[in-house]
Amino acid sequence: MREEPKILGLLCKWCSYAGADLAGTSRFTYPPNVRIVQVPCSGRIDPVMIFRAFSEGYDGVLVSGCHPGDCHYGTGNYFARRKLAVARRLLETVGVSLDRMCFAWVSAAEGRKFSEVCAEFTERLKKLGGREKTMAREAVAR
Amino acid sequence: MKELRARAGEAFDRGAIDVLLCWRSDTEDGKVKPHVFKKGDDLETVVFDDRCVHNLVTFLPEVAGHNKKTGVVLKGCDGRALVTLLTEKRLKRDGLYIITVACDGVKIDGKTAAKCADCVTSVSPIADVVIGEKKALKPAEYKQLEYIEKMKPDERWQFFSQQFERCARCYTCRQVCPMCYCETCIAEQVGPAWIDASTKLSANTMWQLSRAYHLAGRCADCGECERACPERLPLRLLNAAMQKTVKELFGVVPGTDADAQPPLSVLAQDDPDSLLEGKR
Amino acid sequence: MAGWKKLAKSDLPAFLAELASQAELVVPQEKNGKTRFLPLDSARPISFPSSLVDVSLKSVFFPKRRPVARFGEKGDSPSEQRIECAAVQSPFSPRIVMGAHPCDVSAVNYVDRVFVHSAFKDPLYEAERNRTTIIGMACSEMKPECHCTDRDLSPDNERGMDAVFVEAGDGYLFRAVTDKGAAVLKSGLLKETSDEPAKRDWPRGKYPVSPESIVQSPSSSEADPFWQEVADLCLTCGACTFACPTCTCFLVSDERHDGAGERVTAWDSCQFSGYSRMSGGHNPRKTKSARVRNRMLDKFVYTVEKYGATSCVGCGRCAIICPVGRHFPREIAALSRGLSPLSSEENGDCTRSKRGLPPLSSDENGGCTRSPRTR
Repeated sequence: MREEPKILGLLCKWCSYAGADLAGTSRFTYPPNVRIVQVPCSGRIDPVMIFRAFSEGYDGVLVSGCHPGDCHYGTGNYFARRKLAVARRLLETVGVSLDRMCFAWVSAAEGRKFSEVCAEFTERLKKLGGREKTMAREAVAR
Repeated sequence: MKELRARAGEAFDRGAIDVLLCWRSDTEDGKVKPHVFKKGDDLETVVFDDRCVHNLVTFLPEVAGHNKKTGVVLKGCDGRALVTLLTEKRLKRDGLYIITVACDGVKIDGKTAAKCADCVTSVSPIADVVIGEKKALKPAEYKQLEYIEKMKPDERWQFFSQQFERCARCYTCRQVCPMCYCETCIAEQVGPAWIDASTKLSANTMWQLSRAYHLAGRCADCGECERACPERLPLRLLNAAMQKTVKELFGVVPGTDADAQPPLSVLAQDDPDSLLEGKR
Repeated sequence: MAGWKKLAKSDLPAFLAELASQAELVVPQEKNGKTRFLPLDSARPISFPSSLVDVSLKSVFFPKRRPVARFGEKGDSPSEQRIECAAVQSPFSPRIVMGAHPCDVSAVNYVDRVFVHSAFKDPLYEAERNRTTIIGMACSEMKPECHCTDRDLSPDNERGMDAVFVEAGDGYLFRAVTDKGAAVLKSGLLKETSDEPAKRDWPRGKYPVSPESIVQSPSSSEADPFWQEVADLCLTCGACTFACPTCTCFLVSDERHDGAGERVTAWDSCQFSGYSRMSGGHNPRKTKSARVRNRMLDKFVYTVEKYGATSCVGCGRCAIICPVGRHFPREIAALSRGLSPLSSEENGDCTRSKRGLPPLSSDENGGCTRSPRTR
């Protein structure tokens, strides 16, 4: 069983990814568990990507975008909010706890906030437990 | 049924329709089957009774594409599917002549179908002709979800993974569904392949979740997916969860309001952030 | 061929236990509402259906998902690391399938032509076949959709079986057909007997087809309205191909995770819209009518050309499983007789004549008048 939770971070390019960058340049420390994937906008996130993360064995998914009203493309994050609200309920129905998804609006100036979100989420997942309890992918015989 | 046959004959006679998509009785094997009646066909085989389980809206876009004036006979749930398809502009309203017959429920294997307990409307919300009386119904309760909701997350995953494992990936559920009409389904995409092609558990899980998600806010709960599934998977469970979610979060019952926007593609600037935080 | 041996009904569980001690025993059992061929599980009730088993024998020899090779990283230090790839081996342990009816056994024999006796041999499939002894079962009745008698078979045909048994009064009668079959019928519970199963005359003529008549039928051409009539009411869902014991289309997929993976074969279907789509987007069978036509002609014409046998065994599962009531056997019989697809013995050529369309001629092509409709 993996000790360290594996987290997928889907970050929008204009706000959240820049915010994560700022966390780095400002030397805020946070756990290395989040693997970051940049998307142009949180509205681009297809919940199928989140389903795929869980079926690949990730313990949690972090989605972060611009604050509502500040989307670089105007309205992308409004669509994201609705889509992701529905997707997390579907995952909950099949047994992926709501605690395994984290949504945060992080702007380009919020480096500290990003590092805090990551630290908090990692702690939460450590308490929830390991991969067996998620949609773990079958082990492939080597 | 007499009235239905009479109205159909009349519609053919005055040129209101070129074809009629309806059910016919088949004396050879005693079943009732979808059929495209053409002018001059014997309308005595037109039937509407509790054996008419099929959702004719699945056939409708293609039949309407081949004919200028297409008549169709719909139950309540079928009509909800049509309302959503019209909202999505899958097909045009003019050119359709819709006859709806009040439905008392359909039977599967001799018993009333489970989906009929969650009936939202006994007649199609959109119609040119209404035959029979519309029933007053309670809002759907989705009692089958109570069993799932009582379970803890691990138990839920154990239950669903056992079901998903049995999926043969035959895609019959997708083909009978009127709402599944993508020219290239996400399951067939290969660059990247979001959903692996074989029947291992993780791929089956991806397929089931993706389909349920793509139907959120659109599914009319006609129940055909579950009836048609050769492995008898409880497919309505996931669709019911999505219907319940969309109703609780956005107050939407898909297909009941011809003027409503599809909930997941509407620009909703005033949604509260609690959508993403609320726990059940 | 040996004579018959009798097994008392009360001895059946003990006989099965004996077989299960010699080999992996696969018998029809009910699971999730359907009878299927599964490894014997004493927790499930044993009963051998008197006719069709709901789910065919196909997945016993050709599973829905079948790893054919495994690959992965080996080696601990970077200098040692390499990718290794190894073909999957069959277990080679003996297996007995008991209770397969003539249609399913005939289907397996047809599939052998595809995977064993053709230019490309599938070693995994061949190994699965070689390690298996088939004790077939003769049917006591024909179900409404059964029409094996129209496919050069009968409910008591023994072709392809290693041994056969049939329900007879208060017991079962067993007989060896091949040496392999004799080897599994050595139990002391089987008593020599002069009893023989009653000979029966099985009905035929429900859905007759002659491949020559299909080739000659003017309806066989792609532009004929016969196919659009069928396609209008078909969803090309593929349920029939999954249920059919001789449909063996498959795709090959590499599935990777974290440096290791498997190459697998998985069931595919010619009815899927993307089945013949190529890179670049061209799809020679884009329309439903093209796909339904392809399947019908494949079963009765193309497989005769390629493998020397029609691939329909008359089990009727396609008609049983179709969610929208298509009746493939009836349609193919109509095609063979030059009628429209919804014709039947009872209603005759109802749809074409009532619509004022001339009947299709089933003589030489030159004699036919085509429908004026073009689609």
